[in-house]
Amino acid sequence: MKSRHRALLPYVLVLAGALALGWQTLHFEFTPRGERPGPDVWPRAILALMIVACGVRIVGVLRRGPDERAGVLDDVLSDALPAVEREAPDAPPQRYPLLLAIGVALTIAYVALLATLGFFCDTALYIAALIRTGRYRRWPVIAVVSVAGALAFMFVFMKVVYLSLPIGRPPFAAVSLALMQLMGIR
Amino acid sequence: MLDVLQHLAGGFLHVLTPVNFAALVVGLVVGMLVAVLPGLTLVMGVVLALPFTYGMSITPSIILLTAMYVSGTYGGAITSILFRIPGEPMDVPLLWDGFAMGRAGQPAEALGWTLFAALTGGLITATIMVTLAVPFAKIALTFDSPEYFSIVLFGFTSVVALGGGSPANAFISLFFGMLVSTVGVDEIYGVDRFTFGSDILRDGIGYLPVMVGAYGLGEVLVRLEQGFASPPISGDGRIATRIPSLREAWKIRGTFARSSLVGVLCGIVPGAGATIASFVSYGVEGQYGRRRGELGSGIPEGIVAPQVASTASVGGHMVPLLTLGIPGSGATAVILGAFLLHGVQPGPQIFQTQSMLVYAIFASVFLGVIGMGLLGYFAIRPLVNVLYLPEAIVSVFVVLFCLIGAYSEHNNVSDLWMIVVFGVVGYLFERWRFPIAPMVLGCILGPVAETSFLTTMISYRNDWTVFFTRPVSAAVMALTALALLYPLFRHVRRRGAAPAATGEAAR
Repeated sequence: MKSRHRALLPYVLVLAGALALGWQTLHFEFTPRGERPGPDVWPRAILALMIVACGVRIVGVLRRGPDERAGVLDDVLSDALPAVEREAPDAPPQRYPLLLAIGVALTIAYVALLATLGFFCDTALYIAALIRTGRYRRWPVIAVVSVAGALAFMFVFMKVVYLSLPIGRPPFAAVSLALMQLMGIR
Repeated sequence: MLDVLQHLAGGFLHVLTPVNFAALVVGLVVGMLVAVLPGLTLVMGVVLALPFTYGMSITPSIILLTAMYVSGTYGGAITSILFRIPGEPMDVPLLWDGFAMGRAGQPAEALGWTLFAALTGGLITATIMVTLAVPFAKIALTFDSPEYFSIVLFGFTSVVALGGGSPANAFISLFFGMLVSTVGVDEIYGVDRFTFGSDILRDGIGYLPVMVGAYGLGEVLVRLEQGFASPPISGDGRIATRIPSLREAWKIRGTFARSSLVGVLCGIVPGAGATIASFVSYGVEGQYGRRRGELGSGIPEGIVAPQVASTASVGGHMVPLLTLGIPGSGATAVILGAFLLHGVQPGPQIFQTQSMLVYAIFASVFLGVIGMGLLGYFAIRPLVNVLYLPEAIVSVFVVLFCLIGAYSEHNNVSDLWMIVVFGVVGYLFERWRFPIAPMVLGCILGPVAETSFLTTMISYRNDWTVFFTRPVSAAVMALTALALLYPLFRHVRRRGAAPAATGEAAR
């Protein structure tokens, strides 16, 4: 029962979102031009189809459970390859939701702090933190890779590609400016 | 024909200019590296390279991405054969016979057959691409908005029908992408759609953050949740390639012919990418091959069939992309994105307005296939060494390429937020088994579908029957219906087969 609820969750979420957006389309403000279709027609058609697709899946899950429907590739193999010994599917991989949560949080923090810390400091910290989150434990390698990586990115994108990356606010801006001077970036 | 050959010769000269040639070489090397690394897919690699093309002119940009695409269809085969790690999903069928041949003490022979197959498939597909593209473009010039709408619709449905897993999930993914493309100010009425008062959303959501976020960051998040637990690499260190003789290859000419045909056809049909081509070709060999009973035991036919087909699908994909502006796979969707970023809309007109570019692309496929062969033969050792890089380090750099790449388009931090949002969406899609490719195609082709639909409605006074009364449009609509009915037919057949199997088991 629990797995069925879990299987229903994405479709219920999409369905709720589609209904909410469908309601939004009723409130597009525009002046109709003769018989021309309005700006609401296309999104409404997409949303209607989306609701139907969700409905089909919800009914399917309720009737048959969270089945994994085979795709074309499975059909091709099962139909045409009696000669090949098909292997049993691998066991589901072990999951570490905490690593995922830290990874997402680090990425959000990286984007949020980019304007404050500047590209170099922010990137070096992000590289180090994410590598460590990925269960790599050799700190000397992490330190070298994070600093060298941030410097390499800075050089390639600012010096070669002429991209204007954020230099940050004081005191971090001083670090960025010093490195830019060292690399000959104006 | 002479005209085409003359243009092609000009294309070769154009590719051999320093900048274009450098783009070709870089594309081949990076494409192969990306395909070798199991954590990086070919499409993700092409997506990550896209931002580097902003500063280039269009010709080297497209050459770079096309070269990555070509060599990416071969690189993953190396790790399949040597380490039993398919670099790409398309390399899974190759693994059965390739690894078996390697385990039987013939890894050099297995690698040689793969390389020979990739070269043959690539050269055949390049020839067919050049032959088909011009007539296709001439026919496409006669198309009006109803035809375009029906072709885009066919592209959408075949992507859904030929994808793996549940068609309903693929449809939801497609509709999600199409919906994302409607966000922003409507072009005809100037009305805000789904902007919720946000200035960022008023500008619309570009397909680049969607692609980069979902394919790049999303994939890294999926692997991070699994603790970057790639299988350990084990091998005996003897890495060499022995190309088969022409006499050996001639003995299995039937396999080459069948697989090339399957590859090109799968390429031309939108949605059937290199992976489908590879699997179908192996399946066809299992049904019609002379040594079908020995498939899976390490025979050359089992290596040649999937490899020829996956490389041959590249040229097939380029035909609808260049002549109609419709990408048939994730990688060609990114290449279309590169065209659009440079302000060029692929389609039949491009053969008249940008013929040098088109023939340079054709020539780059020929040269790319040859370069791929040379690279695969001479640089196999250093290529395999990248497998020893820790996955955590590679993944961090992938994320940074995603973020900086998206930032570089407009120098705007809001694009980074979009990447993060679509990275999480990509993760959820993977987790909930919604395919990502339909979403990306929906996001790119959604506006084309909307414009051609609305233009048709305006031009033909809301008469929707026009889609079924014009010959080409009606024929494509019939194909669309077939593509839609195929999953249903499959489902019914499987349900019919299940009780029969149960009955037999009971007996």
